[in-house]
Amino acid sequence: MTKRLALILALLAAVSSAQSVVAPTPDRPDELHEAGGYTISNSFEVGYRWHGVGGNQDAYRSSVNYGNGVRLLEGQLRMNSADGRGKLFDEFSFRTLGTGGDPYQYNLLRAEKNRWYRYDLQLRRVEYFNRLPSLWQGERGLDSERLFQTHELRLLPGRRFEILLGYERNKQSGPGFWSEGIPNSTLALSNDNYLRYVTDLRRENNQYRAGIDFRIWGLAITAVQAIDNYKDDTRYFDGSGLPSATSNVQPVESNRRDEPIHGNTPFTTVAIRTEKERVIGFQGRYVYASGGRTSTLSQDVTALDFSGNPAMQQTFVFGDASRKQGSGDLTVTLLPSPKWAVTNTTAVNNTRIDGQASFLERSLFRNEFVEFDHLGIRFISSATEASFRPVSAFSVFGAYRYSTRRIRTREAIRFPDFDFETELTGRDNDVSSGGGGVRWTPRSGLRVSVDAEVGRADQPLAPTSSKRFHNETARVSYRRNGIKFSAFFKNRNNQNPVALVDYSSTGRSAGFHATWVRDDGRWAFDGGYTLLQLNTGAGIFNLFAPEGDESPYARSFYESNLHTVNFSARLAPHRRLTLYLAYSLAKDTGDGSSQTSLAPGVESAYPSYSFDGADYYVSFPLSYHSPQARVSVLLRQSLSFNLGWQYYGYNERFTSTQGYRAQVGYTSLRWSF
Amino acid sequence: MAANAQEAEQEYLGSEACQVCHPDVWQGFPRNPHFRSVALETETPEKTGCEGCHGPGGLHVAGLGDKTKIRAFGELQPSETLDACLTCHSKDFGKMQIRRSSHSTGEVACTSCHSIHSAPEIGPLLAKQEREVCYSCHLEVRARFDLPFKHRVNEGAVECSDCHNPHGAPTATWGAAHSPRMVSQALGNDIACVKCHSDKRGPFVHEHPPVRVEGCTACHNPHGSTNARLLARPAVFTMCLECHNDVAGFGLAGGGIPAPNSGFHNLAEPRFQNCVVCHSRIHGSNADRLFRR
Repeated sequence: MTKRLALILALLAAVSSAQSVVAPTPDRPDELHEAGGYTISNSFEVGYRWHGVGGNQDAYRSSVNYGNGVRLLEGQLRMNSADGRGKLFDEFSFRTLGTGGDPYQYNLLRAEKNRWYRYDLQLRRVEYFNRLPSLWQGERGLDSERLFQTHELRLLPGRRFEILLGYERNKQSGPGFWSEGIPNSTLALSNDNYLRYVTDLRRENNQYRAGIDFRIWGLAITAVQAIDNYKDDTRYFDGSGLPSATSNVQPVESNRRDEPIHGNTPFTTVAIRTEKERVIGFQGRYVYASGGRTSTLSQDVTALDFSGNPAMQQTFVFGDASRKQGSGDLTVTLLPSPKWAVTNTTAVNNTRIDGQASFLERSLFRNEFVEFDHLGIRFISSATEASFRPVSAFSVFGAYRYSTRRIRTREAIRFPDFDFETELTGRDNDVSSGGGGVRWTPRSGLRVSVDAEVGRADQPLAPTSSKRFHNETARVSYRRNGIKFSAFFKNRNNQNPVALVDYSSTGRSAGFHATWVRDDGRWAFDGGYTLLQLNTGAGIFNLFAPEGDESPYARSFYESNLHTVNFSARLAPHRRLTLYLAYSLAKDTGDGSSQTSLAPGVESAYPSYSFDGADYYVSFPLSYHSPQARVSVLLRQSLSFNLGWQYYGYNERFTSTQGYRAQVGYTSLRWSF
Repeated sequence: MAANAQEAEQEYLGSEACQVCHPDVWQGFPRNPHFRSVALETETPEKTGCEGCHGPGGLHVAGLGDKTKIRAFGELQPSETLDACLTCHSKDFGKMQIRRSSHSTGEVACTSCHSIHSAPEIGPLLAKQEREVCYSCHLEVRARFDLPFKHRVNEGAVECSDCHNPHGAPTATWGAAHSPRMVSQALGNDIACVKCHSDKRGPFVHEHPPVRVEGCTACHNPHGSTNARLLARPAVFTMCLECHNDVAGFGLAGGGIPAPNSGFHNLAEPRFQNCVVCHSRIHGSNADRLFRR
């Protein structure tokens, strides 16, 4: 019975991987071998991945980005000492994904010797390509490589006193291009000029951590000191001469720019926690981070002035910013009886950001000043939550949450001849919300939960911030033998009413998902549907108001009706043959419009809005679908041959220029030993 | 006789007794992190081996496998399962907030995600691949990762736990009382996004306040979007102008969030419809208070 249940669980896991990419082939349970006092399992899948794209190659690379080549699609090694007394290690495990050129590579390594050390390593490499349609005329792009490393070493794990050491590295590099309007404080150059760069991205982040974790007097205490170093030495090259697709603007004659940004953020974490006899618990934490970044910007631009004559602009900015942030929270848990659980968490966060920049610009005349900015945020919150279970199949939950936030800001500018400084102004904002829910298990395997929350904020920061909001969620799930079914409904509503321009947002989502595995495990089906709906209405400043129009406001309506469908089937008609079929569809029907319309004289950068001269109607109907199929043939007990294909089709209703059709396939051998 | 039964109920028999009837469970146990307690032979009986979790097995054995005489997790309520697991794990740093996490208040038991005896994955005994565990309940999130623009979770490059702590996170330092409570914090107390997007972390000489106050989700849908760069709206200017509309009652001083100069920003021209063409350092700038460089 246990084995059968395990088989069904494994198949449920395999079939529910439907939304993954076609390769690697989902895991088969690896064979276990004994050698040298260790239990070992090992498998790897090597194959060739290929792709073909029709349509917009950039859009494909920005969202899918698989290429051609031989890959170690997946590899896995696990070694565990049979008696927990290995010589150098008791556990050694390694997993790799996409090695050899896939745009998404992931490597995980763990080594542990009981009570002596535990080492975890994560290595990731992501090829991040970005040349996306929402940016004006595609005048920005990035073809970069991101490398992430995380090393965690815990010495003396499981003992009363443990030592923690950690290192993280986050590096981003690669070519790109970039355009921007000309910042023109001296008003010397024509605003029709714009700057174009070819960039060599060089960003790097290194974080070092050291700490201790110890237990004393029934308390568990953790203290960690860390320092995070950041440097951005991106190089900018003049891209003025490159061909451009833009209109109504002109590239500058020449442009040189350097802008290194460096900084350190040391931070300290102290945490104390205890739980006594399942009656009362305390968890406290305090983090203090104090860091800064310094930057230098040096730029020379030659371009046309407003009269069409050549002119030059030199800019130097020396920036220095610091942030001090202290955060503490204390959670008290009361468990007066097995039926009750009450928690209160009170948290305080205080952030102060101070910046100073010395600005010098030379053009038709000299412009020189020093700017000071201050932003302070103090945030106190308290949340009390209680749950009560009168009978084993039913429980209720209630919560009250309150937060008060004080935001303060001050700006100052010092010119050679005079100073300007604003008062310390700010905004106080209180938010309170209450909610509750029920959880009901009417029969074994069936669970129902309903939650609701209502909240009010008195002075929200922005029109889109939460003001009068209510949220409702309902879930039902049923699980029995090889069947699993779940469904949900969510409603998120926020109203931010003010004079002239109300903001309202209603987000609804609903869906269901079902999985069925036949008793013998040879057939398995999985499928679901989800609707994600968002309607917002906002008063926006109308920058296209007709001349003489008294009202500067227009309304902007955004409507998204996003339907997603996924389905997969895993069939094993023969003990050596496994077929896998899957399909996913995401389709936004927008507001139902079949085309956009623009008032006379308006030229659109986006295929996604209509403007009738008074109101904006924004929707972005599109479809994105992806069928896939895979065949696995078990050649020998430890060797399988796999062949798979996946199609990606992306279409926008209002334009065809961004669409693409791509096919990604692979063939591989998976060997376990 | 009653005294003997009572004694048997209290008796710890050791894991060897369990192997007799549950050899399949024991076979894979050396690969289980919980096996450490057995291997070390230093823990007291109530903290080691099978009985460390399932309780003393004396009466269970005496009853020839009577499931009511032992802690059978399949029969427990979620809160009882949580209590049992926290016997040892309550002092884990990463589980400090588990009592108040959305999963605990939602009565999601530890065993909903973790398979203690037959976890197929390397790592924390998850019943399935991490994303599949999360997707099984969070259907709307699963749907978002099927959209054209998303973090590469399905591709295996990003995991849910890179941004979330499923055992509960400390109170967010951004947002407000109803803020997300399962989002991890980078550098101890910063929003999770800057863990990878470190160029957006700052501090900047000129901060864009909503980034600090409300968080990245003010403009982005981090799980997935139909819009490039995970933006919340397909047309950038409509998103910016929803806040920058000069309406009194909002903004840092309550005088309204400044609207663009209508004489200069001619929305009829494409270049003004994408605000970040000029305001290119919209997350914060060290050189220009209007985020233009």
